[in-house]
Amino acid sequence: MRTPPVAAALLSAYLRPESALAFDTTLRNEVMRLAGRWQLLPRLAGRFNDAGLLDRFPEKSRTRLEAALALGRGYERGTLWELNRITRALHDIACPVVVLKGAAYIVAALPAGRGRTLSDIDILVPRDWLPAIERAVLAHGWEHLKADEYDEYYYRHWTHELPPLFHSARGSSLDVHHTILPPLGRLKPEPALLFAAARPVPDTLLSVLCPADMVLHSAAHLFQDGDLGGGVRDLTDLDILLRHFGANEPSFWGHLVPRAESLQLGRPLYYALRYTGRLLETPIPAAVLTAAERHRPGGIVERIMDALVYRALLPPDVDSFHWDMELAHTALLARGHWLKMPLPILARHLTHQLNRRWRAKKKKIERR
Amino acid sequence: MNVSDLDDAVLLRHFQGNGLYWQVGPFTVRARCEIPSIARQIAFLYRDHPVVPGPVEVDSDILVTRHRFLPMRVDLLTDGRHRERGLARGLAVPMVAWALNISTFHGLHRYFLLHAAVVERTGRAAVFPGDPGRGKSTLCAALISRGWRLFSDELALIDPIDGHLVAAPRPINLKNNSIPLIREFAPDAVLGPSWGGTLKGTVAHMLPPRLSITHAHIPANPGWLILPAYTPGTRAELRPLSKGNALIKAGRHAFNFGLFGQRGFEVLADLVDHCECYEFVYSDLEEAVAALDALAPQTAMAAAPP
Repeated sequence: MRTPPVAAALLSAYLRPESALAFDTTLRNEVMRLAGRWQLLPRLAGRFNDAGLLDRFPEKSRTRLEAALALGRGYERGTLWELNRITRALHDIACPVVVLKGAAYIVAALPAGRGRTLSDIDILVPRDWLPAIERAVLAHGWEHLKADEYDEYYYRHWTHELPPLFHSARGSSLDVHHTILPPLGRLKPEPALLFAAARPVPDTLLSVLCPADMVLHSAAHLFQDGDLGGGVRDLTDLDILLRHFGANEPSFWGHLVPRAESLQLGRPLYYALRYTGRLLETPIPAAVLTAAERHRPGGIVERIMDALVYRALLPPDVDSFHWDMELAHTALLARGHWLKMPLPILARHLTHQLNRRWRAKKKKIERR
Repeated sequence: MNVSDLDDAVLLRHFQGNGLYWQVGPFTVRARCEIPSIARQIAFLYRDHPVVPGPVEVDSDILVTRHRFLPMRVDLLTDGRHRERGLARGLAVPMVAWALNISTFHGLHRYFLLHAAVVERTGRAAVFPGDPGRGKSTLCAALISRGWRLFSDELALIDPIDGHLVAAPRPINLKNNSIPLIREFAPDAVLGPSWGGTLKGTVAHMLPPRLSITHAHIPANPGWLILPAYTPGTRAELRPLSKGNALIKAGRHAFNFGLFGQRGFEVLADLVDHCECYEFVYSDLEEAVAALDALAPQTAMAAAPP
């Protein structure tokens, strides 16, 4: 599958920062726009900065990149403060609290946390502690987003979260999970295994997933939940995590596939290794690729996934609205839904969502 | 060369090709538009702004295209990421003006941003922080038609390096009753067409005076921090505000200071320190302008800061 030119230029800048200096003005504008859209500017700016290249960009690009660096640092600071406040709210509660995704990369001071923007904080807690935790955060200024009864029902029974929590004063968002994949889905990674291997973060009361589990969670989110909205940025998360742990974590590679199997996440891991390897040139030891082959889907499925993932991730150009991209996104989300819930429940869920969207649209049209 | 110096054919060729590039203070804008009528209306709003020969690096990028299936509707893409689909044509121009605004809020962290109107006289800036709908655009429009220089109707740009206010003059958004009010107050002001049916009601744009645009490269020292409160039935009155109060109240309209941590606080504190701080109640525009004029007795025009 060929990568379209602007996306290819952006990936090239990510992998080999000095290549960006050769872009002409138009290409540079387009790459900046695409990076902006993908929330990749802070990460990209970090790469240029580390390579000592910032000064060699023309003035406006340099300004934009420096601004992106400041934005990344701002997110780091904000996230650490938010986690501080969460810890404070939960300090009476004796259960483990595992930070997930972007916030975890930041609090654990991992390279994947630099230049990482987030929209909310995700934590994993034991299921039995959910009511106590909910009470505690509601008492410290968090509120539930207003939702209708069905949303409440959906969140509490079918998904793996409390309804999202929103802090009225700080405007931040908190998602409390008790599993990393929906409990009704086909794959059931056992939370107890995740907690057992979780690592405390020094100087905090929080933990993060162990390296293999961090990678697997990211892979599951991308390739099982089907949420490729974070797209290439989430793929770069995986790339950075794999490179870092591969180089710094003893026996990381040997442990990865067996761990995936114990968590029933072999298939998402296969996809993760496939697409990071192809798009981001992530160096994966041959032995690991061979072991992951066991979880390779049948030929047709793999070909369909290839087509969907490439189309959903890589726009042919920055400006046009691409129906095939939208369709690919929808198809992957649908697959995610299908993997999340049994068919009769899925049917009911979708009917309700469509009904609600139609009612909202009618209201909008009437108002005009 | 300004936008108005381009003849129609050249103008449309830019808009329908690689884009028309123009300068708004420190910002470069690029706009592409498939629909000639809308392109001309955008060009009218920015007619006195200098054209920049493209392609150059830009701060804001606007793309207006025909909707793929609905012929009377348009799509608007801002900076490659915010997409409005299926806009009625009568909403395109106000949406473009609004999009350029949003683009600055989200794009630039080179400057510290306050949600505030800023005008300048005698080299000093009067900064009016305020929520939308509290009358600051109307007050701003009134002031600039009586000799104050427009920096912005909505966005105070503070340079973190030296604390100066930086100008980015562009069309002022007037809403509903403000439109006839300003037409009466400033008969010589140039206003674009009124656009009804937006989320904020009827909207029209007042073009910045040419002097504001030609002098946009000249920054200003902080002079006055004024919290405006249009209150029907009151006489215009400037009530001194303590620095502490001013810091907290202005801080509510700070947009990206948090990103800069402690430095953000210091820049805001410096601004408040260097300003005379007031709350300002008024109802009649003439009175209001007179009260504010009295703050800066006009001895020299637009003196540059040292």
